[in-house]
Amino acid sequence: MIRYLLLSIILTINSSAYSVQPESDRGRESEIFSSKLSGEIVTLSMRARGSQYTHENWKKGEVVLYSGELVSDLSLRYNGYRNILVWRDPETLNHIRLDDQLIEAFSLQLESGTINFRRLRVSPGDKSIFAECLFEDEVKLFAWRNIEQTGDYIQSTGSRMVSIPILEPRPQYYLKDKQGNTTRIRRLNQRSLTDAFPEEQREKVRELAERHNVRINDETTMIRAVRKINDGLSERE
Amino acid sequence: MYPKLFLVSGLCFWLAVAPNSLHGQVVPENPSMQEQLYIHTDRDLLIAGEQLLFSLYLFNGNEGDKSNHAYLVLRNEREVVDHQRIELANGSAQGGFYLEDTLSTGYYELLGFTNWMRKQEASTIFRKHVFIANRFDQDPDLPHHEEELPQASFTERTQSHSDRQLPSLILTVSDSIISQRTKGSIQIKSPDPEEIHGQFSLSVVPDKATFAHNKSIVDYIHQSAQGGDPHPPKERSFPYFMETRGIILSGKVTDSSGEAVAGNRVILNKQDTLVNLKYADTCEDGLFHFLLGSYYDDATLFFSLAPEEGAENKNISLFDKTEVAFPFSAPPDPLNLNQVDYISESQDIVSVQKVYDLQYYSKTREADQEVFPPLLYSEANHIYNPDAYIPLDDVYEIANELIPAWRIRGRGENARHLMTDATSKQRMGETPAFFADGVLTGNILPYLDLASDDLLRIETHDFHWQHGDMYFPGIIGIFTKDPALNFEPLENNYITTEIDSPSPPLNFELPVYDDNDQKESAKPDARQVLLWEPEITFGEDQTIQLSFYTSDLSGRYVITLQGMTEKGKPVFEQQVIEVQ
Repeated sequence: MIRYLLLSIILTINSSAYSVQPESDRGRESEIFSSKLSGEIVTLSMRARGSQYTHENWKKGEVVLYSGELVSDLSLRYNGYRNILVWRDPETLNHIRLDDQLIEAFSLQLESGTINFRRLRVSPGDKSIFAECLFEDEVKLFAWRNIEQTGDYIQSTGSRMVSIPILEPRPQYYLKDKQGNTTRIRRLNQRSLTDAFPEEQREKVRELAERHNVRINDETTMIRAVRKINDGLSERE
Repeated sequence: MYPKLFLVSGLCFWLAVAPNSLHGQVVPENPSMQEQLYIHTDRDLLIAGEQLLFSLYLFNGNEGDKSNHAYLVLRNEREVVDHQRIELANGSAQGGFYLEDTLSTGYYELLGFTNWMRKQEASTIFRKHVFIANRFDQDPDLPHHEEELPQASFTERTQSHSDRQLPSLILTVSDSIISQRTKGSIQIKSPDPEEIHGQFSLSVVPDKATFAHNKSIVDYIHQSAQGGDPHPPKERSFPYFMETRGIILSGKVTDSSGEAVAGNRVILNKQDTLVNLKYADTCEDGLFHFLLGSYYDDATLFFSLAPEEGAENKNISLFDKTEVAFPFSAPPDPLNLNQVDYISESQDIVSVQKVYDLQYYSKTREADQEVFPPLLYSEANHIYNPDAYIPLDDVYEIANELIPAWRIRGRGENARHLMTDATSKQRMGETPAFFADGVLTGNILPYLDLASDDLLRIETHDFHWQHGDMYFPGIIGIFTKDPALNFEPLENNYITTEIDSPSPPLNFELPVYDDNDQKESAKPDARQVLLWEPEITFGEDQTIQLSFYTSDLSGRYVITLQGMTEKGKPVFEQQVIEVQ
């Protein structure tokens, strides 16, 4: 109740601020004509060791719909176990699994900065995933923050033995080349990265990796390597 | 309940006091946010059955936003005879009004405005008079001066502009006297390389077809800058938005006593083969607003109140954008004898054009735009396609036999609809939401009697579904092969309106007389408009060369160049040529 009263007051305070700033008309229009999110009301609680979510708490975020419209100021969480984006309705506190085909991209605000996700179509089966953008230029690097069940943990609850799934992050990396082809990078090493480029570019990629003394052993070094290769490929063109 | 009330009241209060007053009352307008519009028409004096060509320029003091839609209204003192919406690109657009053959002879007023301009003073709305003569009026009772006026003094007019030291382009013609069916050349040169960017339009038309009293773009802006025609700002009680992303359709919900109703939800659907929905909540003044994209162009829109809002005692009214509150302005001076003669000649010329089917304009087909329907869901969980099954007699049978998620108990008024949630496999407690040919309806009964042969498909989306803050306990969409016929029994439950698509630009098709065969063609060339170039832009050079061919009609023609540089400076130049 108090929350809504506060929200109402905030709206009122905003209104007086706006009343001296004609430039804010666009903001007002956005508020009145804001687009709507659609999805299934779900209960995603799950007894597991490890989390279904990439981030433990709800994050402030924005969603870009397939129409290009932006919906802001949302409480969002990405569920990597089910590959779904969940929105918490501020009024009802319902958790809503957003209809992923209506979403083009979304962003989450973390303490360390904003991270952006895009919907990617990846083979096999042209499956759609939400992947975090790690590097974006002519070449793009994405991480699918996949969470998998890696085993079961047997717990005894009184007289019963219960099997509890163990959930662990198993990120997958994807490279999107200049032509728009998306290829999975199988492992975090230079050879896998080179193989993700189109065949006609691989020689150049190897050459650039050698010249820049690229060593890949984790996500950070992978991003650095892709940046250098992207710059090198752009220079040559 | 209470949280909603607080939110709605907060939003309403916010709207009530927001900048420049959305309700438009007391906060002084920031001049930099005002828009102005100018329309260059090819002629001011036309015959019914012709095209009135126009090029439109929108300008304001605001570096950022500008409206992307403008409205043009053509009216006489009795009624609006035509109107159109046009889409602007970088503040300009071009097009034409086809003047219906049935228009009566007399003065008409061409109005131009954006939705944003409606919140400004009435004097900022663009208005100009044109005279339209019906070509079947053999002896029209034209208001005219008995005296024959001297030929138009275009040079003086141009001179007066250069006195104001406004930047202008230099307009030169290759020959001031040209034979019939002969090529003429026009050069437009900018003395200042900084002033070449902008939008300009040019017409070559009979000199008698223009009114000296209609303001050029330079005069118009000059007068506006000096605050000409001041009208006291009226108290306007309506919020007008700048239409930058789409058009905005507004309306009001009132109760049976005519009082505004706040906090009601208005639903908008389009009849379609997709389940679509938009909604808007009314504010304390009962007003609601929808932002509409191109998905709604050329469609019938169905408005209704959300089922829980007690629709039976409330009315939805929609506001007409083209309705102009201020009266038709008094026509200017009567026509002079030259112009009366010109009308008589033009009636014959247009009759010849009609007999020979001489058409010099065609509508540009715009590239297909990508449209984004406001979908309730991207893909239904189940789709029943009647062609895949043996025909069944009605939807009761189809649901019970073929659609596992949907069961109907009872028939007619007693029918109860049960839906099973696809996720939990539990029955949902409430009746699902029904969409009849894309339109949300509280009464699906007429559709339940339809047989397999009548149906295109049935979609079930068997989830507890949320759209914005609307909850749907499952969704059923029934699509028929003949929506117009099947939806008819439900139509009275809705307020409907048609949204016209924006008018397309016009192409001017210029005849060519490069060789003798073309020159000696028996087909008459009865063009009064020798050239209409509505969208002139400079390239790399400071010079533009245009060419045209004269028609079979001799006489004095005036070349008029108008437009606006990118820096917002108006341009107006004229030259006269003689066709012999």
